[in-house]
Amino acid sequence: MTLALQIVASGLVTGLIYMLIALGVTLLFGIMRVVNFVHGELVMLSAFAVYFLGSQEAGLPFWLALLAAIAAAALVGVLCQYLLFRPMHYEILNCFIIGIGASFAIRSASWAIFGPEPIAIPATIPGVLHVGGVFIAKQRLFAAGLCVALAIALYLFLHFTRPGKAMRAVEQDREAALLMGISSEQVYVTAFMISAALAAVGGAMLGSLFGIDPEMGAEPLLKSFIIVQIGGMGSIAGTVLAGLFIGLSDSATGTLFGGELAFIIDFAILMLILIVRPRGLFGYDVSH
Amino acid sequence: MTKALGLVLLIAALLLLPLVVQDAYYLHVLILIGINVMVAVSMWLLGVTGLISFGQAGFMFIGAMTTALLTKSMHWPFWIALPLSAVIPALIAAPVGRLSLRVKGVYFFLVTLAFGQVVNGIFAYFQEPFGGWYGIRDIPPPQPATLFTTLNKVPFYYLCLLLTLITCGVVYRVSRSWFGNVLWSIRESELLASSVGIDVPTTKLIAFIVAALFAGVAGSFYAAYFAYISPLVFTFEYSVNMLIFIVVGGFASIAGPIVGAVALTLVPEMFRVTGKYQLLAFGLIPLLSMRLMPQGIIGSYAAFRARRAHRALPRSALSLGIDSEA
Amino acid sequence: MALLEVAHLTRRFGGLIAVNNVTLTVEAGEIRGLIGPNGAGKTTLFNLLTGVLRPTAGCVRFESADITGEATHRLVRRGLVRTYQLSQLFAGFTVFRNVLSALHVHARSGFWAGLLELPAVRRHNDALHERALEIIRFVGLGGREEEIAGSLSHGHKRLLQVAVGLAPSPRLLLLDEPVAGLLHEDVDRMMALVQSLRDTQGITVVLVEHNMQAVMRVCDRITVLQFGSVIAEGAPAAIAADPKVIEAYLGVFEDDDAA
Repeated sequence: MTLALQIVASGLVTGLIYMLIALGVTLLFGIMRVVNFVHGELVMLSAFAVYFLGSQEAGLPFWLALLAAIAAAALVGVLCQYLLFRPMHYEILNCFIIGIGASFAIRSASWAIFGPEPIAIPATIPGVLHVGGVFIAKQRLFAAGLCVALAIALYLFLHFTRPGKAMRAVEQDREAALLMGISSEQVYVTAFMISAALAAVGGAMLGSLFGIDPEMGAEPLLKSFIIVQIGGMGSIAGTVLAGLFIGLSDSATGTLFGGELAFIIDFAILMLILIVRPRGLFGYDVSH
Repeated sequence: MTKALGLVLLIAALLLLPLVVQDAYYLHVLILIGINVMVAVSMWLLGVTGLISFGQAGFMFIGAMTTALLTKSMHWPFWIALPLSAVIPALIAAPVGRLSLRVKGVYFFLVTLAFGQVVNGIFAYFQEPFGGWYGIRDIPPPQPATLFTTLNKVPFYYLCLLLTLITCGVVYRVSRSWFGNVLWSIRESELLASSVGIDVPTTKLIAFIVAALFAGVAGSFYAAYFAYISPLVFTFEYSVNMLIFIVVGGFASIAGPIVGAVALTLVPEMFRVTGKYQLLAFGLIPLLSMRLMPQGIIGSYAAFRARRAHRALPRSALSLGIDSEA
Repeated sequence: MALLEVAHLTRRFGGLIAVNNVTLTVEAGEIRGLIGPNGAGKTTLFNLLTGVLRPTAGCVRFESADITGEATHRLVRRGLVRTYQLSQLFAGFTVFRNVLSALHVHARSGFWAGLLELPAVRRHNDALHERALEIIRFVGLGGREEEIAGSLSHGHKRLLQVAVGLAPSPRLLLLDEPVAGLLHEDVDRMMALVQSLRDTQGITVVLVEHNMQAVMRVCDRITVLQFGSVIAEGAPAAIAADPKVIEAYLGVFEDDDAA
């Protein structure tokens, strides 16, 4: 029983982090139909940035390092928009290819600079909580809490602020929004920045829990795709639920059967969802 | 007429090449090019239909695994394993395709990506009989073993050349036929295609199965030539590389993936680019290519010639991008 | 002879009833108009008839065969063809290639036929080239065969659409707003073309249109839709005088010519 609770506990935490990263993916896809492959590398770069800024030489407190990483990620995100995706006119396939190219390039540059070895990171909040027979690292609780807070913040932003509502308008009908005087370009820029910020926080959390290495962006990205697809592209609620589901599923299969099988199961679930309900849990109808 | 003549000369040159080129390394590179051309060309056929599949590596792996298991564990001759390695991926492609094609646009990319990962994952997970992460080594070469030794690459070269020519020949013929025009039409507008009587889902499925078949052939040859296969070879990155061949080479005709495969296999080899620098190259090359040369090498060449003749170029000769409503 | 019989056709989208219990019959050889204010369900009705949407209820018969919910491409082979509101064309193809591609149902088009390309197949498909040229000339695009479809003027795109609709040799042609966005001369030319489709080719035509003058002039009978239901049906003169129709269109009659 305690094993089950342990699985649930750690599954929820990782699920929440992946959910946060996936929210960035679904935001971009919902609004501009862009699949941003560089998203994974933003996760990786932010993790590295927080580590290097927060430790040793620079010695910034964690919060400051995180904010700096978020700002840097937002900048990179907008750069991607202007250099990569806008020239492609946000055409899905072209963005896909150019995004993959950019992610390969960034990944190999990172490998060249930082070396291939993963770096373990000391916890910002050391210590373990013992709750009801289950051990939860405080760092994990902190990560979980931060992800939940940001998810709620995102929801509030989208539903109760003007820029947020503008985003939702563009997502639903670009032309109608234009007629209302909403500039898609501004919305796109905001979307890229928020998406990058989410990736940054997710990366920082992943790094603090699991260490950093140049390849760390690939798995969250692919998992994000799975999560977004299961939850429904463009749906926040779907992404949240699917993120938690994947987190739990991974934790369970990982503990019981080993890590690789978890990944296979994820993809098998993805294929199943695409077959049975291509729109995902909450998405729009996408089949013929 | 000069085109046909040029083609005949090219094939003659390729046939006579081993008389001139003796170095095993050069023959190896040419064989690599051949394998890449086979997979790239099969992906191109899919692209002509408006489909981009990231699962080709998966079908290639299935073909390779079929050959590996049949020849090594069951001691069947390669010449029987080869056609089976074409048929089995095709058989698997039928249900996978029918299910995957139910979704459109970017969702289709993701399903095929998932499929490639699942295939890779399954082969990686089960040590028995698929070799797990270690893969399968000591795959026997084609019969007669005395001919296909590791010392002499020439027979492998000819085998590869034969398979590549067959692949290119079939894809070329199909692409230039009425059926091929149907594929192009589907890519232009699925809605209009069905409105003129084209059975779009069935046609897409046929293209998907044919592409999987040729990927299987390439995989089969890979297994027999390299004598070692593992999940680290047939990855998502490999499928992406094939796509990059098409993007860089150009899309408008079969020459595109061929030129792209040749160029992008040769260049890293020439500059001894390996490991992660290869990743960098494969990252930067499509980036630069799409910004500077969106029509690919053959598209740019065609545009250059058209400009000299003061003609305009039809749109479908241009970039790969799909105008999707997804 | 009744070519098309629609019985109690209904389509719901959640709580919205887009097409409500529509019953109508199209006789062979007639030119039928289908009009109604925006949102009346005209295009949805077309979508239901051509396999783009499945009906929630009701059935459709074409030449006495039940075709309810049948796929678009199969309907084309039966002789039921439809054009679209927004110019659906193979935009990157030339005019010639557009029409040739549209002759698909007449071609030997299978995978193996393409791969083997026996001389008989080649001859059969090559004969279609002449057909394509004939159709292009018939709609009035002669001389423009090599132009890229996407670069044509709006009026010419519409003509090409008709050519593409003609190519499969339909017995019933559904035209969705064929003159939308056209200038006066082009409207006349299109309507003359529509009439010759029936007069010279024996094709039955149903057209959805907002341009009242065009509809009144060309159609034998007119069906009027409002909010998904048929509110009137009859000869043009009767329809123009029908109070229900006038009320549905309140004010539109005055400035409809500005189409």
